[in-house]
Amino acid sequence: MELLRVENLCKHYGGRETGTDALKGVSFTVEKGEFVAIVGPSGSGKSTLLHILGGVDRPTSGQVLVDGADVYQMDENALAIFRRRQIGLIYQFYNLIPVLNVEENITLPLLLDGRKIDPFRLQNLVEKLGLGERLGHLPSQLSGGQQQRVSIGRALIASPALVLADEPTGNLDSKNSGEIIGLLRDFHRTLDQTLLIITHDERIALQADRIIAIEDGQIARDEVIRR
Amino acid sequence: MNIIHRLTLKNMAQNRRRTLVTVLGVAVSVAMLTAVSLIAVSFLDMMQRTVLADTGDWHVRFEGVSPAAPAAVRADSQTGSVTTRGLLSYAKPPESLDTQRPYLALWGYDPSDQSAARAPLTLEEGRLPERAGELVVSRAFLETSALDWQVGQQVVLPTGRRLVPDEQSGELLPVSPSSPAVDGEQWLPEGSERYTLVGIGSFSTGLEPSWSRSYTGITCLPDGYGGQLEVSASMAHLDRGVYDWGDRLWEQVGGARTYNSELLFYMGITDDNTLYSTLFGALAIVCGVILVGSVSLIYNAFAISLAERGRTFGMLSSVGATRRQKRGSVFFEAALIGAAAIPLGLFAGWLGIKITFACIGSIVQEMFRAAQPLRVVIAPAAVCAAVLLSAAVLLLSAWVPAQRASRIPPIEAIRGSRQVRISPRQVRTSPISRKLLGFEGELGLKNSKRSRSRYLATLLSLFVSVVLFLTASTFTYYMGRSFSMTVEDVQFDYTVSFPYTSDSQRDRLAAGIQALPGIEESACTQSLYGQLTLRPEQLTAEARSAIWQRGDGLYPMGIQVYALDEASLQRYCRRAGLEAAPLLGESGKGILLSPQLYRVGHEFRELRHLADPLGSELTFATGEVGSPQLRLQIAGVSSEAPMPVAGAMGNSSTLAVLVSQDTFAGWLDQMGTDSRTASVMVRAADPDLFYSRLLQYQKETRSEWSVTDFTRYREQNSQLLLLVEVFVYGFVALVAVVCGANIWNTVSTGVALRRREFAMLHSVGISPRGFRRMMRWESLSYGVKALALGLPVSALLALGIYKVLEQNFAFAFSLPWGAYLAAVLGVFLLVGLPMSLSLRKLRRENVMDALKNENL
Repeated sequence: MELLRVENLCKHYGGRETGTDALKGVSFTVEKGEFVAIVGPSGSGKSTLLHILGGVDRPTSGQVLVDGADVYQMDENALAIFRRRQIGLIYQFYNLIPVLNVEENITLPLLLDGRKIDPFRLQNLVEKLGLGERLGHLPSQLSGGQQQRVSIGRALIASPALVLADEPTGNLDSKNSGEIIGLLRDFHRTLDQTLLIITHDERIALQADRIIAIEDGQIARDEVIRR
Repeated sequence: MNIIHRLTLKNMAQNRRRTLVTVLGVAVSVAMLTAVSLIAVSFLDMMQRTVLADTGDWHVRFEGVSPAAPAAVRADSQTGSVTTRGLLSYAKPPESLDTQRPYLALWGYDPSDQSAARAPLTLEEGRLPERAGELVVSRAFLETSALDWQVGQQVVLPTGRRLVPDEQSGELLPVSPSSPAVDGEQWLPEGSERYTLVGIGSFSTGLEPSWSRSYTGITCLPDGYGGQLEVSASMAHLDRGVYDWGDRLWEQVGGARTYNSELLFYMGITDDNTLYSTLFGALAIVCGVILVGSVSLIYNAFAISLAERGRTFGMLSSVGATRRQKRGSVFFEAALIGAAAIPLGLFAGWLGIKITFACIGSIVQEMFRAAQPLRVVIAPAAVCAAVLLSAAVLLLSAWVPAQRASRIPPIEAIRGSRQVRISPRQVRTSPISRKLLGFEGELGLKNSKRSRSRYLATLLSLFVSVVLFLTASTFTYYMGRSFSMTVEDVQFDYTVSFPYTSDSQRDRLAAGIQALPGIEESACTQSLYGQLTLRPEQLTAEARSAIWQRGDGLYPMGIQVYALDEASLQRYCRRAGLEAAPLLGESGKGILLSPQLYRVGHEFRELRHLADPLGSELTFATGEVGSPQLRLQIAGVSSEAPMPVAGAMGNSSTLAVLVSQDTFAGWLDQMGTDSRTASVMVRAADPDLFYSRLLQYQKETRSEWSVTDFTRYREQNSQLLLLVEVFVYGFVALVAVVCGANIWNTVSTGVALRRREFAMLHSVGISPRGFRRMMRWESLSYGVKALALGLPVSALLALGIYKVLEQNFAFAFSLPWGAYLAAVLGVFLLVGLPMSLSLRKLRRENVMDALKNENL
């Protein structure tokens, strides 16, 4: 079942003549439950693509349909609610809110939505993330790996349709990197979570079901490596 | 409490210093606004009470109306109270010793409507008259007339009419009780009346004018009184319709109509008065300064808070926070700050004014010659206005940052790319600057231009602070100058005068007193008053407009000549920077004291009389019959008043001249007289000790003289000046604190937000010296620009304030240079200090940590 459809996505930065094209007509689809790695050299446009998929940046032209809904036809308010309910974003630099504790950071999308928190689900999630003892801590009291686990928790708590991760291990050592990828794979497998991950690391890419290579704003390769 | 509110609270708690500064800033501005509204309302209240106590509570008065008039006035639906009285006759108490004021004007008040109860008097003894034949008089009348009347006593008063011939027709006309002494007045006895004295009180000037030749006696109108009446009425609900109402009544009752314009003025009904415009002009300036200061401070606080939280907002929106939620965060912060600061400010403002009035209430009362004390009056409307204004300021200050917060696109916040949208043109510096300042200096200049919004915020905050501080200083400087114009400057402690001694004995005694130990300065002085006429070209334009011109085109003026003994004259000349030698001996030369300060009503004017005084010759004569023409040459001009003149504020049509004793004696010879009063003025190191020595000397010489003690007056004056200074500098200090906090906040946050950039510079090997140099040029660039804009704008505003105050207090325009210097130093200090402190904090940080900038 198709979850994500990207059609002819273009993104242009700067002026008409002097600017650059970060994306030049990218099109692809992702099935529900698929684990996709997006690879490519620096400046190829992969982060731009991810941000547009996540609803935080707008394309110059083209369409992004999530579950059949055209994301960029939504007004600001609807887009915010879409991000809150349908998308889970994981950044390289965690982007946690320093004054909120671990529990609050994780449950932020639910709190913003005014939804009740299911204590069983939260308990289950933090235990899987290995943060059970750390719920009251502030981000500054955690290691890099722990902070990234918090940001994974935040991305998953609202059971979004799509989890997008932008170099989630780029700031971590190899031990932590392995653990984080293991966790993501685990959630993908157990929750049937659709996962798009941007990475430079070939070993991580090879754990995905499918690899999309982007070069110079276009899809250079799209290979299914596992079914 | 939802997550946005919780997050806002946590952010505020984390940035405790900034939150506190913002709360205090808002509280200070609320306090200042409250104080201003309390001052305005209390001042008007004082003046209202003063006028009420003086004139009584009426809005319109009809004089010379028929007995039917009171009923007609009362019949109008808009009429409130009505006071009816009629002048029955004048009495001339035969035992009165007061030859200047021998009459008693007998006013009958209407007993049917308790009119007497509304007369502006305070009963000290007895009661008000209730029927004809009962009388209440003032204590002043009994005392000055030396009458020993007691309450309950019956008095028989010869009554009659006072008449004065009309200048043109020669017809005899009645004299009004409020008219001053008139030539050719006649007393026409008509009989006598018996009265029972039922009360003694103190009467207001409105009821018993001090310039009149009669005192006032209050009784009741006899039954069936058919004479002319005076009807005073007040409007039930006073509003701007008072003139229509008064005119309508006037059409019905006729007579002479007068509005109580002073009372109406303080009730805010009329506005054609310079005092009012000065007062409200000054209030508007103060409020303007406060509002601009508060908006700038609060706006900056929110803008800074937003800059710090920019990434948080971006992050929030990437996990799905809506615009409303982001905007709500800023407004929630504003609401919390307001909830804490507004009550705090209201209380502080009230307390501040309570204390201020306790200290300087009497000065203000004196300044405006108000008979009633100044008290704190809380007008709910004024307090509400202060609260609403503060809330509006808070909302306004939060509005722009809130809108901006709501618009932060998540991607920009995530990338941190918000501040770097610039074109090369924007950061272009001149090629000379690199040569002149080195690379680091140039980088500093570029940095100051790099982020336009932050650059503008910093510059605006500096500019507003400079203008605010200087405007407050200028305002208080002018207020201080205006106030010192209202306080007479007496330089001596004691004046000894010799009214009953011969010349030789007086000279001996004067020399003896001046030789007493413990004297700091003394002067022996004589004075005389003369008259002269001047041609128009001899006078300055301002003098011509101030002095009355006679029909023949000449200007009659007075001249007050003061003679100083030789030693005092020489001392004075040294102080004034003039040569004493030409004046000494019987030279006929004198020093013109100019410009001089004069008080006209509420206004104070500094006036230069003579167009070209130096070397000019004046001819004058004392007004006595057969007095010779005396000649005087002006050998010097000085604005510095010597001891005998200082504090003697003259009137605008009198010159003041200083001559030697010998010149003065020569004039007396010409006049063939030696009977001029002379006095010795003394300023002593220890006034009390000197006084005891003076008494001792008097006992030894068995001489007669009178001493006037000015020590208390001087002490009081210096205390008053001190209090005014405390008050006005308190205002400047408060404003300076607000400005300082504002700049500090802006600059230190600006530095904190650039830690990543600084770390980068360190990582590429900028030397500490080079770094300091860069920061110094950046600070300098901000400071110079803020001053280049702020100083001229402040000077322009100063001119505006001057123009407002000039309507009441005339003095030459000048600027408080000390404050300007303080502003220049303060700006560089306040830009440099927080910058270097924040940098020191940053220096302790690990370069790589800052570079990674991992956690927002």
